[in-house]
Amino acid sequence: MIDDKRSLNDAFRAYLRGEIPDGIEMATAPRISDWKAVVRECPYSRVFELRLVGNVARHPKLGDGPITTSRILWIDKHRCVARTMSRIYILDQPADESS
Amino acid sequence: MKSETSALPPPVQLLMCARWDAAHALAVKMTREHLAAFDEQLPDRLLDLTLDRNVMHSMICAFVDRLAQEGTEEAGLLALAWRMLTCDPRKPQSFVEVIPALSWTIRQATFESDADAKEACDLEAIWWHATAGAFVKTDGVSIFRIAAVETTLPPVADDNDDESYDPSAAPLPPTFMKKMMKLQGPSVVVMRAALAAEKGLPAAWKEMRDLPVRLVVARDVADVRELLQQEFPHAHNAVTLLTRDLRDGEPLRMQPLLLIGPPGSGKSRLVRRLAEITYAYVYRFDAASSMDGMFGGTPKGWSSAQPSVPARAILMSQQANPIVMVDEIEKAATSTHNGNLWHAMMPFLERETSAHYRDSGIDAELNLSHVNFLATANDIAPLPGPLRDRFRIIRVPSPNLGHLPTLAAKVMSDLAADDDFRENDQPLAPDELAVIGRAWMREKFSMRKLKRLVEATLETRDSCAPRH
Repeated sequence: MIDDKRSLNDAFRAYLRGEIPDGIEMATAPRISDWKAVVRECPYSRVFELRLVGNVARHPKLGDGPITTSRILWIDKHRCVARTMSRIYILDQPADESS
Repeated sequence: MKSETSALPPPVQLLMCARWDAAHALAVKMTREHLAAFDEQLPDRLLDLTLDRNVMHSMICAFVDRLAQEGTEEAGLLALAWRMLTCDPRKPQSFVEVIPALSWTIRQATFESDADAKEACDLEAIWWHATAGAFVKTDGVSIFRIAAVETTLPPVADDNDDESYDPSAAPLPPTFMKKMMKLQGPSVVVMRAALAAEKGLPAAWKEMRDLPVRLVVARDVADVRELLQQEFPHAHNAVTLLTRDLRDGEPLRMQPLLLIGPPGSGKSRLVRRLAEITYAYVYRFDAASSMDGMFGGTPKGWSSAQPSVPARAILMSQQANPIVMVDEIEKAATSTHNGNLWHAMMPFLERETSAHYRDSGIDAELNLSHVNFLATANDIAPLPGPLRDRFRIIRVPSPNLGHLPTLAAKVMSDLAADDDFRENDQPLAPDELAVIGRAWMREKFSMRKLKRLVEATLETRDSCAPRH
Protein backbone atom coordinates (compact mmCIF):
# COMPACT_ATOMS: atom_id res chain seq x y z
CA MET A 1 0.00 0.00 0.00
CA ILE A 2 2.70 2.43 1.05
CA ASP A 3 4.99 1.54 -1.82
CA ASP A 4 2.01 1.87 -4.11
CA LYS A 5 1.43 5.38 -2.97
CA ARG A 6 5.07 6.30 -3.39
CA SER A 7 5.26 4.88 -6.86
CA LEU A 8 2.08 6.72 -7.79
CA ASN A 9 3.70 9.91 -6.62
CA ASP A 10 6.70 9.14 -8.78
CA ALA A 11 4.42 8.43 -11.71
CA PHE A 12 2.71 11.75 -11.20
CA ARG A 13 6.02 13.59 -11.03
CA ALA A 14 7.13 11.92 -14.24
CA TYR A 15 3.88 13.09 -15.83
CA LEU A 16 4.58 16.67 -14.72
CA ARG A 17 8.01 16.41 -16.30
CA GLY A 18 6.28 15.35 -19.50
CA GLU A 19 8.00 11.98 -19.57
CA ILE A 20 6.38 9.22 -21.58
CA PRO A 21 5.91 5.95 -19.68
CA ASP A 22 8.68 3.55 -20.62
CA GLY A 23 8.58 1.31 -23.65
CA ILE A 24 7.79 -1.97 -21.94
CA GLU A 25 4.94 -0.48 -19.98
CA MET A 26 3.51 1.05 -23.15
CA ALA A 27 3.99 -2.09 -25.21
CA THR A 28 2.14 -4.26 -22.72
CA ALA A 29 -0.55 -1.71 -21.85
CA PRO A 30 -4.15 -2.66 -22.58
CA ARG A 31 -6.04 -0.59 -25.16
CA ILE A 32 -9.40 0.90 -24.33
CA SER A 33 -11.86 1.88 -27.05
CA ASP A 34 -15.26 3.63 -27.04
CA TRP A 35 -14.09 5.08 -23.79
CA LYS A 36 -15.66 7.78 -21.72
CA ALA A 37 -14.42 9.46 -18.54
CA VAL A 38 -16.95 9.17 -15.74
CA VAL A 39 -17.03 11.06 -12.44
CA ARG A 40 -17.80 8.97 -9.42
CA GLU A 41 -18.45 10.30 -5.94
CA CYS A 42 -17.67 8.04 -3.02
CA PRO A 43 -20.70 7.74 -0.78
CA TYR A 44 -20.85 9.99 2.27
CA SER A 45 -17.67 11.82 1.52
CA ARG A 46 -16.27 14.47 -0.69
CA VAL A 47 -13.90 12.13 -2.40
CA PHE A 48 -14.40 12.26 -6.14
CA GLU A 49 -12.67 10.26 -8.78
CA LEU A 50 -12.57 9.92 -12.52
CA ARG A 51 -12.73 6.49 -14.11
CA LEU A 52 -12.66 5.24 -17.67
CA VAL A 53 -15.56 3.21 -18.98
CA GLY A 54 -15.17 1.40 -22.28
CA ASN A 55 -14.13 -1.75 -24.08
CA VAL A 56 -10.71 -3.07 -23.22
CA ALA A 57 -8.42 -5.33 -25.19
CA ARG A 58 -5.38 -7.22 -23.90
CA HIS A 59 -5.98 -6.45 -20.25
CA PRO A 60 -3.53 -8.60 -18.27
CA LYS A 61 -6.16 -9.70 -15.76
CA LEU A 62 -9.49 -9.18 -17.46
CA GLY A 63 -8.69 -10.02 -21.06
CA ASP A 64 -11.09 -8.37 -23.49
CA GLY A 65 -14.49 -6.87 -22.88
CA PRO A 66 -16.34 -4.00 -21.19
CA ILE A 67 -14.52 -2.44 -18.27
CA THR A 68 -14.59 0.29 -15.65
CA THR A 69 -11.06 1.15 -14.68
CA SER A 70 -9.73 2.21 -11.30
CA ARG A 71 -9.26 5.87 -10.50
CA ILE A 72 -7.42 7.96 -13.09
CA LEU A 73 -4.21 9.61 -11.94
CA TRP A 74 -3.70 11.55 -15.15
CA ILE A 75 -4.99 11.42 -18.68
CA ASP A 76 -3.40 12.82 -21.83
CA LYS A 77 -5.78 12.75 -24.77
CA HIS A 78 -3.19 14.26 -27.06
CA ARG A 79 -0.77 11.39 -26.58
CA CYS A 80 -3.59 8.89 -26.11
CA VAL A 81 -2.41 7.62 -22.72
CA ALA A 82 -4.09 7.45 -19.33
CA ARG A 83 -2.55 6.35 -16.04
CA THR A 84 -4.89 4.82 -13.48
CA MET A 85 -4.10 3.65 -9.96
CA SER A 86 -3.13 0.25 -11.29
CA ARG A 87 -1.80 0.61 -14.84
CA ILE A 88 -1.43 2.49 -18.07
CA TYR A 89 -4.12 2.42 -20.74
CA ILE A 90 -3.72 3.32 -24.36
CA LEU A 91 -6.68 5.34 -25.52
CA ASP A 92 -8.33 4.30 -28.76
CA GLN A 93 -11.40 5.85 -30.27
CA PRO A 94 -13.46 7.67 -27.60
CA ALA A 95 -17.20 7.14 -27.36
CA ASP A 96 -19.46 9.66 -29.09
CA GLU A 97 -19.03 12.92 -27.26
CA SER A 98 -22.63 13.91 -27.50
CA SER A 99 -22.92 14.81 -23.84
CA MET B 1 -7.86 37.16 -2.60
CA LYS B 2 -5.06 35.35 -0.87
CA SER B 3 -1.70 37.05 -0.96
CA GLU B 4 0.52 34.78 1.14
CA THR B 5 0.01 31.42 -0.51
CA SER B 6 3.39 31.32 -2.16
CA ALA B 7 4.18 27.87 -0.78
CA LEU B 8 1.26 26.30 -2.62
CA PRO B 9 1.74 24.87 -6.09
CA PRO B 10 0.48 27.16 -8.90
CA PRO B 11 -2.63 25.09 -9.74
CA VAL B 12 -3.83 25.29 -6.13
CA GLN B 13 -3.18 29.03 -6.03
CA LEU B 14 -5.24 29.42 -9.18
CA LEU B 15 -8.00 27.31 -7.71
CA MET B 16 -8.39 29.90 -4.94
CA CYS B 17 -8.99 32.72 -7.43
CA ALA B 18 -12.55 33.96 -7.54
CA ARG B 19 -12.58 35.06 -11.19
CA TRP B 20 -11.14 33.92 -14.48
CA ASP B 21 -9.23 37.16 -15.07
CA ALA B 22 -7.76 37.04 -11.56
CA ALA B 23 -6.63 33.49 -12.21
CA HIS B 24 -5.23 34.52 -15.58
CA ALA B 25 -3.33 37.44 -14.04
CA LEU B 26 -1.88 35.14 -11.41
CA ALA B 27 -0.82 32.58 -14.01
CA VAL B 28 0.84 35.35 -16.04
CA LYS B 29 2.70 36.62 -12.98
CA MET B 30 3.96 33.19 -11.94
CA THR B 31 4.94 32.26 -15.48
CA ARG B 32 6.86 35.51 -15.96
CA GLU B 33 8.87 34.78 -12.81
CA HIS B 34 9.52 31.29 -14.10
CA LEU B 35 10.54 32.38 -17.60
CA ALA B 36 12.81 35.13 -16.29
CA ALA B 37 15.36 32.44 -15.44
CA PHE B 38 15.50 31.49 -19.13
CA ASP B 39 15.56 35.11 -20.35
CA GLU B 40 12.36 34.40 -22.13
CA GLN B 41 9.22 36.46 -22.58
CA LEU B 42 5.65 35.38 -22.27
CA PRO B 43 3.97 35.38 -25.72
CA ASP B 44 2.15 38.72 -26.05
CA ARG B 45 -1.05 37.24 -27.29
CA LEU B 46 -1.50 35.33 -24.04
CA LEU B 47 -1.91 38.67 -22.31
CA ASP B 48 -4.55 39.95 -24.69
CA LEU B 49 -7.84 39.58 -22.83
CA THR B 50 -9.83 40.97 -25.77
CA LEU B 51 -9.17 37.78 -27.71
CA ASP B 52 -11.98 35.41 -28.44
CA ARG B 53 -12.06 32.62 -25.88
CA ASN B 54 -11.51 29.93 -28.47
CA VAL B 55 -8.44 31.68 -29.83
CA MET B 56 -7.19 32.16 -26.30
CA HIS B 57 -7.66 28.45 -25.65
CA SER B 58 -5.56 27.44 -28.62
CA MET B 59 -2.91 29.97 -27.62
CA ILE B 60 -2.82 28.45 -24.18
CA CYS B 61 -2.57 24.92 -25.60
CA ALA B 62 0.42 25.94 -27.68
CA PHE B 63 2.06 27.53 -24.68
CA VAL B 64 1.40 24.44 -22.55
CA ASP B 65 3.33 22.43 -25.14
CA ARG B 66 6.24 24.86 -24.81
CA LEU B 67 6.21 24.39 -21.02
CA ALA B 68 6.05 20.61 -21.37
CA GLN B 69 9.24 20.63 -23.45
CA GLU B 70 11.12 21.99 -20.48
CA GLY B 71 10.73 18.64 -18.73
CA THR B 72 10.67 19.88 -15.14
CA GLU B 73 8.02 19.40 -12.46
CA GLU B 74 7.83 23.16 -11.96
CA ALA B 75 6.97 23.70 -15.61
CA GLY B 76 4.52 20.82 -15.46
CA LEU B 77 2.66 22.46 -12.59
CA LEU B 78 2.56 25.76 -14.46
CA ALA B 79 1.25 23.96 -17.52
CA LEU B 80 -1.49 22.43 -15.38
CA ALA B 81 -2.33 25.89 -14.05
CA TRP B 82 -2.65 27.26 -17.60
CA ARG B 83 -4.83 24.36 -18.62
CA MET B 84 -7.21 25.17 -15.77
CA LEU B 85 -7.90 28.40 -17.65
CA THR B 86 -9.22 26.42 -20.62
CA CYS B 87 -11.87 24.63 -18.59
CA ASP B 88 -15.36 25.61 -19.66
CA PRO B 89 -18.32 24.58 -17.49
CA ARG B 90 -20.46 24.34 -20.64
CA LYS B 91 -18.13 21.63 -21.95
CA PRO B 92 -17.52 19.09 -19.18
CA GLN B 93 -15.11 17.34 -21.55
CA SER B 94 -12.70 20.24 -21.16
CA PHE B 95 -12.20 19.26 -17.50
CA VAL B 96 -11.33 15.63 -18.10
CA GLU B 97 -7.61 16.14 -18.61
CA VAL B 98 -7.26 18.73 -15.86
CA ILE B 99 -9.25 17.44 -12.92
CA PRO B 100 -7.40 14.20 -12.03
CA ALA B 101 -4.04 15.97 -11.99
CA LEU B 102 -5.48 18.97 -10.15
CA SER B 103 -7.06 16.74 -7.55
CA TRP B 104 -3.80 14.86 -7.00
CA THR B 105 -1.89 18.13 -6.67
CA ILE B 106 -4.33 19.38 -4.03
CA ARG B 107 -3.92 16.14 -2.06
CA GLN B 108 -0.14 16.53 -2.06
CA ALA B 109 -0.11 20.23 -1.19
CA THR B 110 0.79 21.42 2.29
CA PHE B 111 -1.62 24.07 3.42
CA GLU B 112 -0.81 26.69 6.01
CA SER B 113 -4.02 26.16 7.90
CA ASP B 114 -6.89 23.73 8.05
CA ALA B 115 -9.19 26.51 6.88
CA ASP B 116 -7.20 26.85 3.65
CA ALA B 117 -7.23 23.11 3.13
CA LYS B 118 -10.97 23.00 3.63
CA GLU B 119 -11.48 25.89 1.24
CA ALA B 120 -9.44 24.12 -1.42
CA CYS B 121 -11.47 20.95 -0.89
CA ASP B 122 -14.74 22.86 -1.19
CA LEU B 123 -13.60 24.50 -4.41
CA GLU B 124 -12.32 21.22 -5.77
CA ALA B 125 -15.73 19.64 -5.16
CA ILE B 126 -17.33 22.28 -7.40
CA TRP B 127 -14.77 21.56 -10.13
CA TRP B 128 -15.69 17.91 -9.90
CA HIS B 129 -19.36 18.74 -10.22
CA ALA B 130 -18.53 20.79 -13.29
CA THR B 131 -16.74 17.74 -14.73
CA ALA B 132 -19.86 15.71 -14.06
CA GLY B 133 -21.81 18.29 -16.07
CA ALA B 134 -23.64 20.13 -13.29
CA PHE B 135 -23.12 23.55 -14.88
CA VAL B 136 -23.66 22.80 -18.56
CA LYS B 137 -26.53 25.24 -18.70
CA THR B 138 -24.74 28.23 -17.21
CA ASP B 139 -24.23 31.11 -19.54
CA GLY B 140 -20.54 31.44 -20.25
CA VAL B 141 -19.55 32.00 -16.64
CA SER B 142 -16.09 30.77 -15.74
CA ILE B 143 -15.61 27.84 -13.39
CA PHE B 144 -13.59 30.09 -11.07
CA ARG B 145 -16.58 32.37 -10.62
CA ILE B 146 -19.01 29.49 -10.15
CA ALA B 147 -16.80 27.80 -7.59
CA ALA B 148 -16.30 31.05 -5.68
CA VAL B 149 -20.02 31.78 -5.51
CA GLU B 150 -21.00 28.21 -4.71
CA THR B 151 -18.59 28.01 -1.83
CA THR B 152 -19.37 31.64 -0.86
CA LEU B 153 -15.92 33.01 -0.79
CA PRO B 154 -15.85 36.60 0.44
CA PRO B 155 -17.44 38.68 -2.33
CA VAL B 156 -15.09 40.30 -4.80
CA ALA B 157 -15.49 43.90 -5.81
CA ASP B 158 -16.91 43.86 -9.32
CA ASP B 159 -16.37 46.94 -11.41
CA ASN B 160 -17.13 45.64 -14.85
CA ASP B 161 -19.35 42.76 -14.09
CA ASP B 162 -19.17 40.73 -17.26
CA GLU B 163 -18.91 37.57 -15.20
CA SER B 164 -21.95 38.03 -13.07
CA TYR B 165 -23.12 34.74 -11.76
CA ASP B 166 -26.13 34.64 -9.56
CA PRO B 167 -26.92 31.18 -8.27
CA SER B 168 -30.54 32.08 -7.56
CA ALA B 169 -31.10 33.40 -11.09
CA ALA B 170 -29.85 30.22 -12.70
CA PRO B 171 -31.14 27.52 -10.39
CA LEU B 172 -29.04 24.43 -10.24
CA PRO B 173 -30.48 21.14 -11.34
CA PRO B 174 -32.13 19.35 -8.41
CA THR B 175 -29.72 16.44 -8.58
CA PHE B 176 -26.90 18.83 -7.91
CA MET B 177 -28.60 20.31 -4.88
CA LYS B 178 -29.19 16.83 -3.59
CA LYS B 179 -25.54 16.06 -4.08
CA MET B 180 -24.60 19.20 -2.20
CA MET B 181 -26.82 18.08 0.65
CA LYS B 182 -25.00 14.81 0.60
CA LEU B 183 -21.74 16.67 0.90
CA GLN B 184 -22.80 17.77 4.37
CA GLY B 185 -21.98 14.24 5.43
CA PRO B 186 -23.93 11.45 7.03
CA SER B 187 -25.81 11.83 10.27
CA VAL B 188 -28.09 9.81 12.48
CA VAL B 189 -30.83 10.66 14.96
CA VAL B 190 -29.62 9.46 18.34
CA MET B 191 -32.74 10.29 20.31
CA ARG B 192 -36.12 9.94 18.69
CA ALA B 193 -38.66 12.33 20.16
CA ALA B 194 -41.35 9.64 20.25
CA LEU B 195 -39.23 7.55 22.59
CA ALA B 196 -38.08 10.34 24.88
CA ALA B 197 -40.69 12.26 26.85
CA GLU B 198 -39.70 15.90 26.95
CA LYS B 199 -40.88 16.36 30.49
CA GLY B 200 -38.10 15.95 32.99
CA LEU B 201 -35.41 15.68 30.36
CA PRO B 202 -32.24 17.66 31.17
CA ALA B 203 -32.04 20.84 29.09
CA ALA B 204 -29.05 19.69 27.07
CA TRP B 205 -30.85 16.52 26.06
CA LYS B 206 -34.06 18.32 25.10
CA GLU B 207 -32.23 19.77 22.12
CA MET B 208 -31.14 16.32 21.05
CA ARG B 209 -34.68 15.12 20.40
CA ASP B 210 -35.01 14.24 16.71
CA LEU B 211 -31.78 16.10 16.01
CA PRO B 212 -29.57 14.49 13.37
CA VAL B 213 -26.12 14.02 14.88
CA ARG B 214 -23.08 14.07 12.63
CA LEU B 215 -21.13 10.87 11.98
CA VAL B 216 -17.37 11.20 11.69
CA VAL B 217 -16.23 9.89 8.32
CA ALA B 218 -12.93 8.08 7.79
CA ARG B 219 -10.72 9.64 5.13
CA ASP B 220 -7.47 8.52 3.55
CA VAL B 221 -7.34 5.35 5.61
CA ALA B 222 -4.10 4.22 3.97
CA ASP B 223 -2.43 7.46 5.06
CA VAL B 224 -3.80 7.14 8.60
CA ARG B 225 -2.40 3.63 8.83
CA GLU B 226 0.95 4.64 7.41
CA LEU B 227 1.27 7.56 9.81
CA LEU B 228 0.41 5.45 12.85
CA GLN B 229 2.80 2.73 11.78
CA GLN B 230 5.56 5.29 11.53
CA GLU B 231 4.79 6.62 15.00
CA PHE B 232 4.40 3.17 16.55
CA PRO B 233 6.98 1.10 14.70
CA HIS B 234 6.83 -1.64 17.32
CA ALA B 235 3.07 -2.06 16.90
CA HIS B 236 2.95 -2.46 13.13
CA ASN B 237 0.51 -5.37 13.23
CA ALA B 238 -1.59 -3.81 15.97
CA VAL B 239 -2.09 -0.70 13.83
CA THR B 240 -3.10 -2.83 10.86
CA LEU B 241 -5.72 -4.60 12.96
CA LEU B 242 -6.85 -1.39 14.61
CA THR B 243 -7.54 0.29 11.28
CA ARG B 244 -8.89 -2.80 9.54
CA ASP B 245 -12.54 -1.82 9.88
CA LEU B 246 -12.08 1.68 8.51
CA ARG B 247 -13.27 2.36 4.98
CA ASP B 248 -12.53 5.46 2.96
CA GLY B 249 -15.50 7.76 2.86
CA GLU B 250 -17.59 5.75 5.26
CA PRO B 251 -18.45 6.60 8.86
CA LEU B 252 -15.81 5.64 11.38
CA ARG B 253 -16.97 2.31 12.71
CA MET B 254 -14.95 -0.30 14.52
CA GLN B 255 -15.77 -3.53 16.25
CA PRO B 256 -15.14 -3.37 20.00
CA LEU B 257 -11.38 -3.74 20.29
CA LEU B 258 -9.27 -4.66 23.28
CA LEU B 259 -5.61 -3.65 23.19
CA ILE B 260 -3.48 -5.89 25.38
CA GLY B 261 0.12 -5.12 26.15
CA PRO B 262 2.66 -4.49 28.89
CA PRO B 263 2.55 -1.15 30.76
CA GLY B 264 4.03 1.68 28.76
CA SER B 265 3.75 0.05 25.34
CA GLY B 266 1.71 3.00 24.13
CA LYS B 267 -1.79 1.49 24.02
CA SER B 268 -3.72 4.51 25.23
CA ARG B 269 -1.57 6.82 23.19
CA LEU B 270 -2.24 4.75 20.08
CA VAL B 271 -5.99 5.14 20.60
CA ARG B 272 -5.67 8.86 21.23
CA ARG B 273 -3.53 9.37 18.13
CA LEU B 274 -5.97 7.39 16.00
CA ALA B 275 -8.75 9.66 17.23
CA GLU B 276 -6.71 12.80 16.60
CA ILE B 277 -5.88 11.83 13.06
CA THR B 278 -9.42 10.82 12.21
CA TYR B 279 -10.97 13.81 14.01
CA ALA B 280 -13.01 11.55 16.26
CA TYR B 281 -13.77 12.48 19.86
CA VAL B 282 -12.39 10.29 22.65
CA TYR B 283 -14.17 9.89 25.94
CA ARG B 284 -11.72 8.32 28.35
CA PHE B 285 -13.16 6.20 31.12
CA ASP B 286 -10.82 4.99 33.80
CA ALA B 287 -11.84 1.49 34.79
CA ALA B 288 -9.55 1.41 37.82
CA SER B 289 -11.62 4.03 39.62
CA SER B 290 -14.99 2.55 38.75
CA MET B 291 -16.60 0.74 41.62
CA ASP B 292 -20.08 0.20 40.32
CA GLY B 293 -22.22 0.07 37.22
CA MET B 294 -22.11 3.82 36.65
CA PHE B 295 -20.94 3.21 33.10
CA GLY B 296 -24.51 2.35 32.20
CA GLY B 297 -25.92 5.47 33.86
CA THR B 298 -27.35 6.25 37.28
CA PRO B 299 -31.14 5.91 37.34
CA LYS B 300 -33.19 9.06 37.20
CA GLY B 301 -34.62 9.73 40.63
CA TRP B 302 -31.28 9.61 42.36
CA SER B 303 -29.82 13.03 42.99
CA SER B 304 -26.71 11.89 41.15
CA ALA B 305 -28.70 10.80 38.09
CA GLN B 306 -26.52 10.64 35.00
CA PRO B 307 -26.86 9.13 31.58
CA SER B 308 -24.53 6.34 30.50
CA VAL B 309 -20.96 7.01 29.44
CA PRO B 310 -21.56 6.45 25.68
CA ALA B 311 -24.55 8.84 25.81
CA ARG B 312 -22.43 11.45 27.56
CA ALA B 313 -19.72 11.02 24.93
CA ILE B 314 -22.25 11.73 22.18
CA LEU B 315 -23.66 14.76 23.97
CA MET B 316 -20.22 16.24 24.61
CA SER B 317 -18.85 15.63 21.16
CA GLN B 318 -22.01 16.12 19.11
CA GLN B 319 -20.79 13.16 17.11
CA ALA B 320 -22.87 10.02 16.82
CA ASN B 321 -19.80 7.82 16.60
CA PRO B 322 -17.26 9.01 19.18
CA ILE B 323 -14.68 6.65 20.64
CA VAL B 324 -15.22 5.52 24.23
CA MET B 325 -11.86 4.38 25.57
CA VAL B 326 -12.03 2.24 28.69
CA ASP B 327 -8.55 2.37 30.13
CA GLU B 328 -7.14 -0.55 32.10
CA ILE B 329 -10.38 -2.46 31.88
CA GLU B 330 -9.02 -5.42 33.84
CA LYS B 331 -8.51 -3.23 36.93
CA ALA B 332 -12.24 -2.57 37.50
CA ALA B 333 -13.54 -3.52 40.96
CA THR B 334 -14.87 -7.05 40.92
CA SER B 335 -17.57 -6.60 43.54
CA THR B 336 -21.04 -6.64 42.05
CA HIS B 337 -22.62 -4.91 45.05
CA ASN B 338 -23.73 -1.80 43.11
CA GLY B 339 -23.31 -3.35 39.72
CA ASN B 340 -20.00 -3.68 38.04
CA LEU B 341 -18.29 -2.08 35.06
CA TRP B 342 -17.95 -5.31 33.09
CA HIS B 343 -21.62 -6.17 33.39
CA ALA B 344 -22.66 -2.60 32.72
CA MET B 345 -20.60 -2.53 29.51
CA MET B 346 -22.03 -5.68 27.98
CA PRO B 347 -25.22 -4.27 26.46
CA PHE B 348 -23.27 -1.59 24.61
CA LEU B 349 -21.04 -4.08 22.89
CA GLU B 350 -23.88 -5.68 20.94
CA ARG B 351 -25.19 -3.53 18.10
CA GLU B 352 -28.68 -4.98 18.48
CA THR B 353 -29.08 -3.87 22.09
CA SER B 354 -27.17 -0.62 21.83
CA ALA B 355 -29.35 0.55 18.95
CA HIS B 356 -32.31 0.65 21.33
CA TYR B 357 -30.72 1.36 24.67
CA ARG B 358 -33.06 2.75 27.29
CA ASP B 359 -30.84 5.03 29.27
CA SER B 360 -32.03 4.97 32.86
CA GLY B 361 -30.25 8.24 33.62
CA ILE B 362 -32.56 10.29 31.41
CA ASP B 363 -35.28 7.71 30.89
CA ALA B 364 -35.15 7.81 27.11
CA GLU B 365 -34.35 5.36 24.38
CA LEU B 366 -31.14 6.14 22.53
CA ASN B 367 -29.40 4.79 19.48
CA LEU B 368 -25.86 4.22 20.68
CA SER B 369 -24.99 1.63 18.07
CA HIS B 370 -22.48 3.88 16.30
CA VAL B 371 -20.30 4.49 19.35
CA ASN B 372 -16.90 2.81 19.05
CA PHE B 373 -15.52 0.99 22.08
CA LEU B 374 -11.80 0.58 22.54
CA ALA B 375 -10.42 -0.84 25.75
CA THR B 376 -6.88 -1.30 26.99
CA ALA B 377 -5.55 -3.85 29.44
CA ASN B 378 -2.23 -5.21 30.66
CA ASP B 379 -3.60 -8.66 31.16
CA ILE B 380 -6.60 -10.50 29.83
CA ALA B 381 -6.91 -13.12 32.59
CA PRO B 382 -9.15 -11.25 35.06
CA LEU B 383 -11.79 -10.47 32.43
CA PRO B 384 -14.93 -12.64 32.45
CA GLY B 385 -15.39 -14.83 29.40
CA PRO B 386 -18.57 -13.21 28.03
CA LEU B 387 -16.88 -9.80 27.99
CA ARG B 388 -13.76 -11.22 26.37
CA ASP B 389 -15.86 -12.76 23.61
CA ARG B 390 -17.35 -9.41 22.71
CA PHE B 391 -13.98 -7.82 22.01
CA ARG B 392 -11.53 -8.44 19.24
CA ILE B 393 -8.16 -8.79 20.93
CA ILE B 394 -5.15 -6.90 19.61
CA ARG B 395 -1.74 -7.45 21.16
CA VAL B 396 0.56 -4.44 21.42
CA PRO B 397 4.13 -5.58 22.05
CA SER B 398 6.77 -3.55 23.88
CA PRO B 399 9.19 -1.72 21.67
CA ASN B 400 12.83 -2.83 21.67
CA LEU B 401 16.18 -1.18 21.16
CA GLY B 402 15.79 -1.32 17.39
CA HIS B 403 12.88 1.10 17.59
CA LEU B 404 14.76 3.56 19.78
CA PRO B 405 16.00 5.98 17.08
CA THR B 406 12.52 6.39 15.52
CA LEU B 407 10.71 6.64 18.85
CA ALA B 408 13.26 9.03 20.34
CA ALA B 409 13.00 11.26 17.28
CA LYS B 410 9.23 11.29 17.71
CA VAL B 411 9.59 12.25 21.38
CA MET B 412 11.93 15.06 20.33
CA SER B 413 9.44 16.44 17.85
CA ASP B 414 6.64 16.20 20.44
CA LEU B 415 8.78 18.11 22.91
CA ALA B 416 9.52 20.74 20.28
CA ALA B 417 5.81 21.11 19.62
CA ASP B 418 5.16 21.76 23.32
CA ASP B 419 8.11 23.99 24.01
CA ASP B 420 9.60 26.67 21.76
CA PHE B 421 12.98 26.41 23.47
CA ARG B 422 13.28 22.83 22.29
CA GLU B 423 12.68 23.75 18.66
CA ASN B 424 16.32 24.30 17.78
CA ASP B 425 17.65 21.22 19.53
CA GLN B 426 20.07 19.10 17.59
CA PRO B 427 18.97 15.50 16.98
CA LEU B 428 20.22 12.97 19.52
CA ALA B 429 23.79 11.87 18.90
CA PRO B 430 24.68 8.17 18.73
CA ASP B 431 26.40 8.26 22.13
CA GLU B 432 23.38 9.93 23.69
CA LEU B 433 21.12 7.30 22.15
CA ALA B 434 23.37 4.57 23.55
CA VAL B 435 23.04 6.01 27.07
CA ILE B 436 19.28 6.36 26.72
CA GLY B 437 19.07 2.84 25.35
CA ARG B 438 20.82 1.34 28.34
CA ALA B 439 18.60 3.19 30.81
CA TRP B 440 15.52 2.38 28.77
CA MET B 441 16.28 -1.31 28.84
CA ARG B 442 16.29 -1.16 32.66
CA GLU B 443 12.86 0.50 32.48
CA LYS B 444 11.48 -2.42 30.45
CA PHE B 445 11.07 -0.30 27.30
CA SER B 446 8.22 1.85 28.56
CA MET B 447 7.23 4.68 26.22
CA ARG B 448 6.42 6.91 29.21
CA LYS B 449 9.90 6.38 30.61
CA LEU B 450 11.43 7.06 27.22
CA LYS B 451 9.96 10.54 27.21
CA ARG B 452 11.48 11.26 30.61
CA LEU B 453 14.83 9.82 29.53
CA VAL B 454 14.94 12.02 26.44
CA GLU B 455 13.95 15.06 28.48
CA ALA B 456 16.66 14.33 31.03
CA THR B 457 19.24 13.90 28.27
CA LEU B 458 18.32 17.23 26.72
CA GLU B 459 18.48 18.96 30.10
CA THR B 460 21.93 17.51 30.77
CA ARG B 461 23.00 18.64 27.34
CA ASP B 462 21.69 22.17 28.05
CA SER B 463 23.48 22.38 31.38
CA CYS B 464 26.77 21.32 29.80
CA ALA B 465 26.39 23.60 26.79
CA PRO B 466 28.97 26.39 26.51
CA ARG B 467 27.49 29.82 27.24
CA HIS B 468 28.60 33.13 25.87
